[in-house]
Amino acid sequence: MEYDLEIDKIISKIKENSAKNVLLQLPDGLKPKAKEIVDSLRKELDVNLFIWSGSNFGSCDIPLHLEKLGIDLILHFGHSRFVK
Amino acid sequence: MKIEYFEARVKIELPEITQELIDLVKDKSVALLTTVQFLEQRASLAVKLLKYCKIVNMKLAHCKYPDQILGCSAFDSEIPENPDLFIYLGGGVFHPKSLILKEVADEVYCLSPIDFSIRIITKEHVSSLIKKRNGALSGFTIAKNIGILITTKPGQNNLKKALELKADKNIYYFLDDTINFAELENFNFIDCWVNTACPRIAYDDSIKIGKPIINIGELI
Repeated sequence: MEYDLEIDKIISKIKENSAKNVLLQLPDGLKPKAKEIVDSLRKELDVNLFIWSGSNFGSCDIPLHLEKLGIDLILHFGHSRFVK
Repeated sequence: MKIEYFEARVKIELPEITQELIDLVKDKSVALLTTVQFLEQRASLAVKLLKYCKIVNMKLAHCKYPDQILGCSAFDSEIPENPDLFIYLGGGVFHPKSLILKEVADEVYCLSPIDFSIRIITKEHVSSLIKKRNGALSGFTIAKNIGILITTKPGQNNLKKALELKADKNIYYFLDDTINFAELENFNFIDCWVNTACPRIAYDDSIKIGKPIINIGELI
């Protein structure tokens, strides 16, 4: 299945947020695409890119306490914003 | 810390509508639900099906878009008008199964976006989960020591609800981010678990837990 990974939009969002340490959180089905996404972003941006190896069951499942590590932006893939 | 969402919409063209699909929907009111990935394909299919049936739009709980479904949506949604037919456009049965578990639908027609093949899921497909849930409810009734599971995940955190539960039992509160079922086995004094995190845990993961587990929504 081919997915629209919106690489251009990701780049502009990272720039817009002036992010330096960025975390990619992918659901299991998209985890194999992590290399493609990181490689594409590295060509365009000088930022630290981290891949969350834990779960991404939905947009209700956002990692916590990453500010302590200096992560300033989470790119959450595969879900729309969770409406509480 | 900012969060940006990238929905990873699928890039495929749907096949031509089949006679089987036309016969299925003809003159009925149809809820056509899908995941965020297939919303564009769902919209184009709905336009084509309007010639044959009435499409009922639904806004389900926790969803950003109409006619989108999440694994937990059915548990917190009020469905004002039940359509004649529920169709789920997408792969797998995780999402549509929730409609049966919550008794919103007796059956759901799962439509493959690749070839429009149809797979029907019914109560029979989830009967073992429903039996286990009914057993768990009995387990709660006779339990003396209750463990309430609370996740720290912002989207699934229901601390307030957890503290609202009053029962003539000994209540203990447990915190974790992702609930670790193996760890729960260490608390062998708990007779029954009450889940306040994702409602699917009490169904799909109940086989991983030795003790009965029910959702807080079934008590409050």
